[in-house]
Amino acid sequence: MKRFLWLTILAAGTASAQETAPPRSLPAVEGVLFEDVPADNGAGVQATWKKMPNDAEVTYKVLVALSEKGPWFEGGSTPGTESFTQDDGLPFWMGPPRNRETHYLAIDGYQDGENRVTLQPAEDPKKKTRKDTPDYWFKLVAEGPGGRWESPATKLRPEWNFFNWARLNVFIYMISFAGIILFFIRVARGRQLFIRRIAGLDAVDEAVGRATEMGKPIFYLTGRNGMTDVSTVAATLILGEIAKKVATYDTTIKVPHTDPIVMAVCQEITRESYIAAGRPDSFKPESNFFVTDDQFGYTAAVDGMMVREKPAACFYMGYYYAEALLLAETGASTGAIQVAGTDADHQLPFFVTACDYTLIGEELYAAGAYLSKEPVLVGTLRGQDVGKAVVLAALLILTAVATIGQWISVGGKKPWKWSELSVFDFLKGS
Amino acid sequence: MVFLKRQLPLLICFIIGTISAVQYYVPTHLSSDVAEGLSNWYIIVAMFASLLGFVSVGMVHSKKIQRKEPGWAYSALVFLGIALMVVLGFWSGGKETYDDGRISPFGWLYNATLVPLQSTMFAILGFYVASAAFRSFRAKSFDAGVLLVTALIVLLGNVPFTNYIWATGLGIHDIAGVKFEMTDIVGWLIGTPNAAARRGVTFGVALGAIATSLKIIFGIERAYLGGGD
Repeated sequence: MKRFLWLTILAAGTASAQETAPPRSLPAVEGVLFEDVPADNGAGVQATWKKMPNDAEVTYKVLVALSEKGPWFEGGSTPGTESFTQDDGLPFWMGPPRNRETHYLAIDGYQDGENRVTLQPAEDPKKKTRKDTPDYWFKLVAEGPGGRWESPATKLRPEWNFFNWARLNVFIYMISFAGIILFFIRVARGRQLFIRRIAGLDAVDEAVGRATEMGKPIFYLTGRNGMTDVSTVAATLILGEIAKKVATYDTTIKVPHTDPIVMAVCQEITRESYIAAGRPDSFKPESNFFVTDDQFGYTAAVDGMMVREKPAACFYMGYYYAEALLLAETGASTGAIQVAGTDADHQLPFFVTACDYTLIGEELYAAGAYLSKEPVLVGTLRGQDVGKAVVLAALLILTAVATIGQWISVGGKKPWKWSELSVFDFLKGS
Repeated sequence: MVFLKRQLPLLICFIIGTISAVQYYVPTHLSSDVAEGLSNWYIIVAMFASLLGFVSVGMVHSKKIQRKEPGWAYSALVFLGIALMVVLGFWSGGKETYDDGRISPFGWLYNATLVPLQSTMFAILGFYVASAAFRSFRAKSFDAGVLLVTALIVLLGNVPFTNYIWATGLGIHDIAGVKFEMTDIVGWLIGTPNAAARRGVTFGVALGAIATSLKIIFGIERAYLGGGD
């Protein structure tokens, strides 16, 4: 009798470990489907299944295995009241039809003990290249007070895709935008295009002239980021134009750096500017110098130089972090004329407050073209403006469509109140 | 020579720029491997470039010491600091803490000097914010007045005591059935007009960045190579 009891316990334990015993008390889940996630790197599988009447009590799990017999690992889970195709996060032209009748769960890996293992292509150990994703087995498990239900195991090999269709809109816009810019470059070669005035850039002459009269240096900062940041590239382009004016007026420019690569690029740009201005002998390589890559070490050093040397003008171009206000306030306290230009929207208020002129956002990118007045570069500015107009028009149209749609959906259950419109959700605390 | 100085960099820029742009739309592992490879190359180049930075620091400060410029003693301190960190770094085996948990001399110097100095600089920001706010909140014009009122509401809305006065003292909880507390006003100011303005800036920045990138990839903008054509 005792031996029989042990055998029973052992048998129960084994069955539990393999997770193969299919209790019959929960109703079968309908429409279970495992598919490859479209437009991904071969590491995603999506599971869909029909909403069930007992969903409020059920938790769904997707189990993953490397063979049909297991062992099975949990890939993901969701309460029965959540995760519908409506919430799949994919753009409208992709994925299953949106509704709240079909559940949706995307799986990109599974939990093996404490480790999260990602579904991914195996690597060829000899060539060190990625091979096809191996076969995986998936099944859906429903668990609730009534017991447990399991779908049959489904074999699936997630596949790579060569184009991410979820980014189709970005791709179309980028191609169109590139076309617009190239078109206006062509137009600008034929005739002069109008550019709106940018006060901050008109002040460059004033700042350089002031420095010449006072016999004091100009400080030019290129921001905290490296050459991989487009705003730093824009800052170096502006430096080229300002250095030409500095060379023409034979005044002094100091460019303290926090990135050695940016320093090397700026040194070359400054040298060429002096050559272009016809004053190669006046160029001093040490005008561009490295300070430190430490954020506050750099700030302290530059602040110290400002206080000691009392520059006539300070330019802050590029991307800045917390040091923005520390630099700009110190510059303001020295009485320097200050021009800032950044695309760091968090730091813009500080620069607007502490500087005489601020180039906001895309004006930083326009500055090189504005100062050089080269027709080809001016053409790109017009292209940028047209691109902005397209975005603005799209925003207005889509906002109107969304508002009308909301209006109609709420108006269907008259009498409605203003407060029922979702635009007032923030007041309802949602 | 012209090929090496002008055409080759432009060609490299075009190829790498195009690959990087296409990589965004290609989700395969091959694509992410290429991106990772490019990123590694940048790190290697940056490591070599850091030598340039070190040389630059050395030259600037050694000249100051040679010429006995005002404040040359600080330049001497720079060399002393570098030497001290290098010596202690080797002595501590490059570790901030030893395996038994004790802090090494290198780690101590870092924690006892650099970290407090950084914290001090960051703390100064609080005072600078106050002085900058004082300057910008002077209601000289209508725009500045709007800024002042808005800023006051946001400041007061973030103080628990003001919320207590609003809800308990004044008893305002809703207007025409719609929840209307101090925090809701602040939330609306930050989440609606402020967010709209910031998104406008973000759109402009994104387009400007794309336009600049295109100019560089297609070789229209060449100033970064060192001046004009």
